[in-house]
Amino acid sequence: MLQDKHPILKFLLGFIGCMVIFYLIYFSSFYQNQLEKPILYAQANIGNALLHLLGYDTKVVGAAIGSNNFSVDIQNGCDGLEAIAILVSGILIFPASRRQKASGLLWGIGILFALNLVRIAGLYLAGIYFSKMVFDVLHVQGGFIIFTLISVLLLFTWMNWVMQTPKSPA
Amino acid sequence: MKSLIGAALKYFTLFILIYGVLTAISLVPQVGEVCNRLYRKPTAPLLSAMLPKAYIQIKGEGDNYETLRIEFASKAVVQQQMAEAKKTGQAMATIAGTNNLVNFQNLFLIFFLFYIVLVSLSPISWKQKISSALIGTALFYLFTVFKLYLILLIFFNQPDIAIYQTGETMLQICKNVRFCMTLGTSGLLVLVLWAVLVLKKHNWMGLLGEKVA
Repeated sequence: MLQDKHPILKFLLGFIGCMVIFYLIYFSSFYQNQLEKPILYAQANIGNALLHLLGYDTKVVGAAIGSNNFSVDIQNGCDGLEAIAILVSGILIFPASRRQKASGLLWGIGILFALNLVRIAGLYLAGIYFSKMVFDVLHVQGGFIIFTLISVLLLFTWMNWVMQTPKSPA
Repeated sequence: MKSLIGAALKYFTLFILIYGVLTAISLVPQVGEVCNRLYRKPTAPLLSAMLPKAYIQIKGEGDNYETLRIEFASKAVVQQQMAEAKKTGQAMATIAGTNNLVNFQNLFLIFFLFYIVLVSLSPISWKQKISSALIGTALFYLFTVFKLYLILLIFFNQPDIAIYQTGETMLQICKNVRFCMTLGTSGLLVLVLWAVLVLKKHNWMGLLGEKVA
C-alpha cells in the first residue's frame, strides 16, 4: 500500500470510513439505550475501585463516583471510546499482518482503557483538591485533548513499529 | 520498539509543554478577551448573512472570556415594534431580544490550540507549518461557524421564538447533524485536517523522529 500513488489519502479515506461507522453506532439509539449505561456504570465501578485502592471512601451511584465532598459523573464522551476508536480505525486500515494488528489492538486498547480509568479517578481527585477552573481545564483540555493525542501517538508508534519490522517471506 | 517508545514520550512531553503554555496564556483574561473578540468579529456578520431573518450580535462573557453571548431578535418583530413606536410618537422603541450562551473554549479555542501544536511539532518546513496552520484554522473556523448556524437555526425554530419555520424533515436533519457535532467529532476533524494538510508519503514517519527521506 505504501508503494501506491496516494497511500496517505487511501489510509485517510479508510480511517474516516471506519470512524463514520463508529459514530453511526455510537450515536445510534441502540447504543444509547442498550450499551451506553452498562459501559459507563462499569467504568464508574472500576474507577471507584481504583480510588478505594488509593484510600478514598467513595461510592458509586449510577455512572457517578462521589463522596460527601465531591462527585464526578461519567457521561457519554468521557468514556474514552472515541479515542479508542481512533486507534482501532488506524490499526484496522494500516497494511500490516494479522498478528501485528492483533498485538497493536490488544496493547493499544488496554493502555487507553487503563489510562481512561486513571483519568476518571484523577478528575475526582482534581475536583476535591483544586478549584473548578482547574477541574474544567483538566476535564476538557487535559482529559479530552491529551487523551486523543495519546491515542494518535500509540497509533503512530505502532505504525512505525510495523514499518521497521522485517516482513517474513510469504 | 524501545527507541520508538522513547521518541513517542519525547513528542508527548513536548506537546504537553507547548499545549500547557498556550492553554495557560489563553486563560489570561486579556488574552482570552482578544481571542474571543477576534473570533466574534467575522462571525457575527457571517451568521447574520446566513440567518437573514434575525438581528444577531455576539458579545464576550466570563472571567476568562470563555463564553459567547449570542443575542438575537426577529427582524420582523423589530420592524413592527419600531413602526408602533413611530405611530405612538416615541423616539425610541424597546426591542425584546433573546440570547444563547455558547462555550467559546469548547467550540473553538482548545481545538485551535490542539491543531496549532500538532502542526508546530510536525516534520515539515516553517513555511509549510505557517500555510498549514492558516488553512487548517480557516477550515476549522468555518466548521465552528456552521455549528453555530445549526445551533441558532434550531433555536430560532422553537415555538416561543419562531423566527424561522424550517420544514420538519430539514429541521430533523439539522438536529441530527448538530447532535453529532460533539467535542469528539471536533477533535477528529482537527486530526483529519492535520493529516490532510501536513502528512505526506515521505514525512509521516518523521513525526516520531525517524529520518525523513
